[in-house]
Amino acid sequence: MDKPTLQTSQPLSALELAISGKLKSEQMPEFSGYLQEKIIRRIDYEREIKALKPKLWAAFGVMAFSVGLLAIAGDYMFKAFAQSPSYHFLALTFTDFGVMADNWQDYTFSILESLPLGALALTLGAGLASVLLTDFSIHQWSHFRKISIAYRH
Amino acid sequence: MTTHDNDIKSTGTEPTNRPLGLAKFASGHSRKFKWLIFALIELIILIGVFALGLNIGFRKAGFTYSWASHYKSNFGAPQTAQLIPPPPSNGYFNPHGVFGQILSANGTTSVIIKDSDSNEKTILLSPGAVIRQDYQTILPQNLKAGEQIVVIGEPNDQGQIQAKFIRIIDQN
Repeated sequence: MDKPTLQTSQPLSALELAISGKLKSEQMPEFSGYLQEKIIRRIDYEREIKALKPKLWAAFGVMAFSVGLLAIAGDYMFKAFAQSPSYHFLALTFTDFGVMADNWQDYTFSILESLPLGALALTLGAGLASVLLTDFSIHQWSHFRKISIAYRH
Repeated sequence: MTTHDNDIKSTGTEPTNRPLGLAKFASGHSRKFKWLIFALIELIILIGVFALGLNIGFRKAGFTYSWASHYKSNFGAPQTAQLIPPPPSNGYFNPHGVFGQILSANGTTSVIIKDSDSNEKTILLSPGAVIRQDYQTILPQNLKAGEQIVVIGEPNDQGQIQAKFIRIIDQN
């Protein structure tokens, strides 16, 4: 049995061999190497897109969730700051900088003691998760675009 | 010069410029060395934050204990009275700063305020304390009941705050 001839000099993959074998067994007319390559590229493309799509949806879904969580955490932190005296202590930096600089140790302690740490940690955690998941989503999307563009050309 | 000139076989005895062993590890090019430095910096930051948290926690707990121990004497109750101080509603008190409303002003020596958690705090007014309203520095006797103030100061053993700076907040 003659092996199908492709325009590439690389050895044939199992998929290529299977397609050429199927064409021969069906007694279909001989396809040119170019057409066979197109079929293989299309199959490869569909296979890669199929594998990528769930990842892409999951990435965007988790990113949207993390951004929502960040908004909730931000609101929670805003309320926590409004209830704590930290806001008033921080405002003294702008109104009485000289006196605060003279008493920097007591001033620093007063801010550190009054910070709403739980709300702050939650917001920073949500912010970090959002940044990482946004980066992951952008990476997945650019991979998706790269595959699509590569197939078109 | 041909490419064959570079094909000189090594005898294994000539000196080499590449660092080996511990020298390679410490030269800054080793991946393990970079990780070690990174881990050490992380550890130092972690220990620093832990020590700071410990220090702040100790100060807050100490001040809250002193405040509760001297509750009767600080707020003028007779020693025979059964007066139990209210527990702090939000963990421990902040010993270095407080925001609240003046309940009573005792001339030039102290004021009693109600903080944001509705607990009374005694603020001692030392001669060096700076008291400001808007852009003006005012005298301690000008503090009036009902005014909102922010206090920065230092705690003492009696559960009081020795004020270093007081700002009167404009309520309008």
